[in-house]
Amino acid sequence: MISIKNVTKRYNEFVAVDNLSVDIDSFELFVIIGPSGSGKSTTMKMINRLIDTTDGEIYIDDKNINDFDPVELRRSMGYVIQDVGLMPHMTIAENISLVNRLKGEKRDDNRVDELLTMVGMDPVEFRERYPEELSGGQQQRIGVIRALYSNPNIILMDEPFSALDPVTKLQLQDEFLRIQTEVNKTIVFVTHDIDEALKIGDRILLMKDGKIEQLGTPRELLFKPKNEFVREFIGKDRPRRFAMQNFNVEKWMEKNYPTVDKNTLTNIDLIHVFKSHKVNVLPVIDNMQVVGTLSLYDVLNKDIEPKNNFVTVDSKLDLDSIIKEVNENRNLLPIVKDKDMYAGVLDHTKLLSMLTAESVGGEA
Amino acid sequence: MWREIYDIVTTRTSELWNLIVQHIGISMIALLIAILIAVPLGIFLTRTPKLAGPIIGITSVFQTIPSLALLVFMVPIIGTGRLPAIIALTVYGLLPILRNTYVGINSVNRSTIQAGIGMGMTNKQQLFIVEIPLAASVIMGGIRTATVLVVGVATIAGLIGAGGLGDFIFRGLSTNSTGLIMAGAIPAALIALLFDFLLKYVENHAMPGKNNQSRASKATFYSIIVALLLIFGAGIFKTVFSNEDMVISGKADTEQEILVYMYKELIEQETDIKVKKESYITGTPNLVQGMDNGQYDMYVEYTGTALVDILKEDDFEYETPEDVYNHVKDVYDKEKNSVWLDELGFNNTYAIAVRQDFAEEHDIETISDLRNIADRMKFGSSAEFLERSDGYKGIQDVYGVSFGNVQTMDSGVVYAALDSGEIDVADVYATDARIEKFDLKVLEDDKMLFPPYYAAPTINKELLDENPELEDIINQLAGLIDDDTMRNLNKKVDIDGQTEKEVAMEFLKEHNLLKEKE
Repeated sequence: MISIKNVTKRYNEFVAVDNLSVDIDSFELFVIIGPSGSGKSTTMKMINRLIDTTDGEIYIDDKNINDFDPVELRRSMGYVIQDVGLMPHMTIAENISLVNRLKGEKRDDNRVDELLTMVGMDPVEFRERYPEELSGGQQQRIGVIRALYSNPNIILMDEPFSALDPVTKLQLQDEFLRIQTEVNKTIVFVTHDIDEALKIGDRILLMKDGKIEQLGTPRELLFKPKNEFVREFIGKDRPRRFAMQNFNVEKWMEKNYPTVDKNTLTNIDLIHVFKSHKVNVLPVIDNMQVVGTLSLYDVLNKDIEPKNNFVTVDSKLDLDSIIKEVNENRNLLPIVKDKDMYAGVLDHTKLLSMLTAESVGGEA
Repeated sequence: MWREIYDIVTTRTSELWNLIVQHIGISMIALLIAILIAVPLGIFLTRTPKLAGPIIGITSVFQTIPSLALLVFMVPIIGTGRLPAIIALTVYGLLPILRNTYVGINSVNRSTIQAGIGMGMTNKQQLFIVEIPLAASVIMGGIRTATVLVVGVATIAGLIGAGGLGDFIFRGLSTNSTGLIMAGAIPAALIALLFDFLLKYVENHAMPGKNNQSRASKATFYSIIVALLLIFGAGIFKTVFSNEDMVISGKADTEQEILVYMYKELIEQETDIKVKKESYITGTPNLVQGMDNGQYDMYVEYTGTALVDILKEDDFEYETPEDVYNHVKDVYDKEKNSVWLDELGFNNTYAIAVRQDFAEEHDIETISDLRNIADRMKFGSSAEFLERSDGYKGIQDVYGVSFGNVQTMDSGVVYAALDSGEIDVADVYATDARIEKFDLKVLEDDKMLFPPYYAAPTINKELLDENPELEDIINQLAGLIDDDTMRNLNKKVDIDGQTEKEVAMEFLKEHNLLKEKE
């Protein structure tokens, strides 16, 4: 755990960080965001003593960082910067294992290969190449695994993806999130990109003029902004888009919608079932699993073969694709959970109420 | 001209080779010192940017001082020979290396350094792992520029007796021999080009971050590095570790050079003393200073020069030339750390010469005869003659002769200028072979203005005390060389194109002074 306690950084008259206190939990992806000059980078750089505090203390696992030799302290953490900063005169393998060289140790080739593989780069192809032969995205992947090389507990990242093109940026963010689930580090991530912060952050610290404006989860910032500044920084459109993108299917689905058992299809009066439930489409269930939907129209035409698709709860669909799916599925979309177990349905009526709720900015 | 160059290169190969080694030697020592100063200084300046402007400014100012001026400026302070030459060359090499080191390190990508520091590099690691390797090719570029510059400027070192290819160039200039000039200038240029090429190769391959080195080119790269180190090393070794016991010097003209070879040969054949030749020194004061501070052990001086220039006794009354010799010998014995040995026999006095046809046309025999037409004459004078009390001043005072136009020119071009009619009258040396070659008329010194300039060796007193046998060895030449003999020897070099060394050996052989070698 990193504890920042009453930390102030002053440059002559200018106060870059003003009496800041915050605790960063172990294994959390902690994003610091704010406009330029807000002190976000300064705060991060004080953690590995690239910048020394004017006042206050920083503790890592209850040890004051001022008790460490700055060089040793930095070597004990990973560090990734916006411009990557690979050594142009060293091969990729030498770059990844640089910290070995700094400590006067031998390079661990297995570790290099393992890390390259982790970011989807073929070790045989890339080990002996030089940075300038790599694309920007590949270079930053190397930057990230260089920080992971000695398996540090803490990784500091200073706008690592800011210089990349939008497509590569999204790719790297996804990859980075996946890596974090594998390696589980304490990550301090500075960015000025609110979308990036909302997407990857476990918690977000929004700073302005060296002070905290709000500290909380992405949801809290989106839907419970503490003040006008936070609301403006987040933007008007973003909460709705966020909700649409991170659509909570389970919360909105109709769990008590009638179903029909596949094994009874030939035995019962299907038209009666439709009539009694006052619906024209029914999900067909076989042993708690969805096999498709059946419409009244088909039944009237003597076609009792279940059709079409369903979606699972945790497939991350945004609202637009959900609506599309519902339209293409005769206005009824079965929802399944875990191993295709039936969970409920979404239909037009539900969608309508959802849309109205989201558009006024309520929490989905 | 090519024929002339070819002859010189083929007949004087070992001499040329020696000069090349000397040339590379002084250049490389100067360069090495410049690197040792400029690279660390450049690195230091990147840490103290406030000092960078002024210090780079100062070295730029050094660079603008003409190389000749810098060398000559250093002579009264440090004397002649290799040391001042090396210092001057070092000063020249500083700026390109300093500037490129500073710029090279400062242009290393900031983010690379930032990343390094963030990962826990110490200051030393930052310098040696990141900055120096990345700036290496820029620094090499500076070293390359400095090398070419220094190898070029090193030719000037010949002027102050430091040796090198400048020797040939200045001898060629003073004897009007294009072949000799080229035999010095072309190798100097080739050395510069060779180093430029080799260092360019090293510079290109010091470029980081490219997979462009195949195994073969890596081998070439390392062999070039090894070759460079060998050339550097050999030159430096030769320059630093040559051990000689005695240094014979001489003035920058042919007859002095011939005499230096004779003495060197005589001394080396009859004693174990190793003789180093550091001759062809421009300006008598440099020689006198070299003798006084023990840098040189021996050279041939003229009685008149000693009397007027060195002892400053231009009002000394004398009846015979012997009086002058005895007087300077006495004063030297009392006041100086060197002594005069016996006179050689020739009197290389100043003389005033005109073209033969000019003399006939105006019916001139003596200097006095010039009085009526002097204001219409153009006088080409050596710089020294203009300044001497028994020179042009004497001509004006004693003869009442003032020329209408006076130009300073090197004694090497005076003859050609007389011949072409560019000037009408000039000061020459009585023993100069070119008097005959250009068919000049030497005017009689009817009022005895010029003191006698009889030649005799002067030698360091201490050395002579330690090696008394030297006196007899050196005096073997005493009385052997009269005016005609000397002029004839000069002619063999200046006009017939023999080397000074050949002429010296021939002479010794003719007089049975050369021992048969077993």
